[in-house]
Amino acid sequence: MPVDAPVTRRHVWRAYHALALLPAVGMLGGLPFANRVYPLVCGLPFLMAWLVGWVIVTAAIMALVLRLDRSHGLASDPEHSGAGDAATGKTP
Amino acid sequence: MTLPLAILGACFVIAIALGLLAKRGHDMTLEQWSVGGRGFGTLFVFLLMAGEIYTTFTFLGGSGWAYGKGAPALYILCYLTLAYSLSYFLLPAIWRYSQGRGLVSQADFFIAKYESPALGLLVSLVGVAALIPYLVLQLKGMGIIVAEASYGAIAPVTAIWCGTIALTLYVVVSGVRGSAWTATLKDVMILVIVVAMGTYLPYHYYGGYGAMFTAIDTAKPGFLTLGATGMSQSWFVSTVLLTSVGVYTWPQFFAGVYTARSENVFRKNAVVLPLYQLVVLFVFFTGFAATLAVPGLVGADADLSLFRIAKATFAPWAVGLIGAAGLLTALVPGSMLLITAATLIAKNIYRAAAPASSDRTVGIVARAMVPVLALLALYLTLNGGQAIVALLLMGYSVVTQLFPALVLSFGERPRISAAAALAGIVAGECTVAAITLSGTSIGKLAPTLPQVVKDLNVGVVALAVNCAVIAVVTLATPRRRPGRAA
Repeated sequence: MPVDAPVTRRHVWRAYHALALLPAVGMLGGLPFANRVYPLVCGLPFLMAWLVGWVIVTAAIMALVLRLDRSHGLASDPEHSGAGDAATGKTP
Repeated sequence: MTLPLAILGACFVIAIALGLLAKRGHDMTLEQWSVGGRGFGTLFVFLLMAGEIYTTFTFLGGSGWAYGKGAPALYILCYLTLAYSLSYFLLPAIWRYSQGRGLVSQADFFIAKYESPALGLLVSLVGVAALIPYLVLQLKGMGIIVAEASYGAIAPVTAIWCGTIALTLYVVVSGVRGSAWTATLKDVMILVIVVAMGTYLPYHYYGGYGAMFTAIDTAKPGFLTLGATGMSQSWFVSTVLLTSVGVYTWPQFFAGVYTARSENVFRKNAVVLPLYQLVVLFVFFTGFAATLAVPGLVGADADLSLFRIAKATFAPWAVGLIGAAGLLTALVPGSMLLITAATLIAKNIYRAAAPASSDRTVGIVARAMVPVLALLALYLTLNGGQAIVALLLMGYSVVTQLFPALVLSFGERPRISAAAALAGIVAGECTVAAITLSGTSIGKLAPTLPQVVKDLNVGVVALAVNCAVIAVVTLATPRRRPGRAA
């Protein structure tokens, strides 16, 4: 590595980041139960409605994770917040 | 008959004009041409990334799969969603590492991380190899659009030629800034058209969504759920997982990451993009509406279903507008693909062979590669008969082989050696090639295995081979521990 290579800030993992696994587990893990046409939900086959529902839940979960990251100072832009947050490489 | 073509032509002229406007005031160095000078904010990166959702693949391929295969098409909705939650963590990490290192291509990242030019060369070759089927599917789509919008006046082969020339011209003129501006126009047009078609057609032909799906379920039992064999639940789960981890191993997404101004751009996108891609649903509705309304398209011809139902329903001017939107969905992502492949060849393959060449020469080589790549893709388009979704799944099997080496590169130092990464990628790609060329599946290789295993996406096998080789090489070679020595 070149001597003047810039120092890269490390990612800081928090327990709530595991929330981001929920969409994969729920959407795909629920298939044996959701793989049916009826009852139709808003006119859509049940399987399609199930997957669409999880897409919406995913957006909500990621919004929550972003909110938590912001409140922990993990998702603030360096140019706006100065030299705070994860730059120190502090582990939880 | 000529009206739709006139609309198509006008749309192309506007796209070129936007590209020229975007170019003004920026001198086009290789960095400007391929990563837009790294000054793109949330909106532009959003448009570039969202632009990748509405490609010919979703527009024609998505409706084609809904038409021909039914429920398995829903995998598209799922893999994109899961890819976005992964992107929340993956893209900021890639972006942070790229800061101050002058990285332009995906291969640059691997070279810097693993300190291995050889790995960079391999990654470039894999990237170009995966981009080719992706380019082929865009050209195929453009051919379909031009041929269908001409109501048969232009033969498909001539139409594919027209599309290829248009794409090459567009890329040479505008570079990535042109992509972002045209992406805005494209997204507005496609949103309006797709929502309008997906709302109107089910009501027009069936009287509503519920009535449509009930009619389909009666006419084709099992079409709206995943079957017990073939494209079953295990096929669905393995394909969704494989393609969702594969999304950000595509070289054009890597280049897209470098265009951002800050890492939070990606976090915000990860929240909004799952909702934005729900519009894909309306593409499916169009395909489902077509199953009973314009039946009879089999195999790769299912890709024509969206245009066939449009022509059976709407006036020529409306078909022209749909064609124009379709043309943009091929031009914008197609241009990203061409730029990425050309940059990889110039910077990471040509320069590796001729290290003394100047930036100017590399820039010229990059631009010269555009027509060469376009002609190669054109040749393959004219000589292959695969459906659009099958082409993309093939590209995914190739490019996903980079995922283990990408993930294991994070941290202060990569967790595996460059040799292990190299061996894993080569083994994975050989498996993909063997599987693709022999046209086999797990079921054919091992007929005694349970059905759940037999239906797994074959890309999973290649990925497993890849990881196994990485593990063997890592265990067999002595570990460097520079951290302890210091």
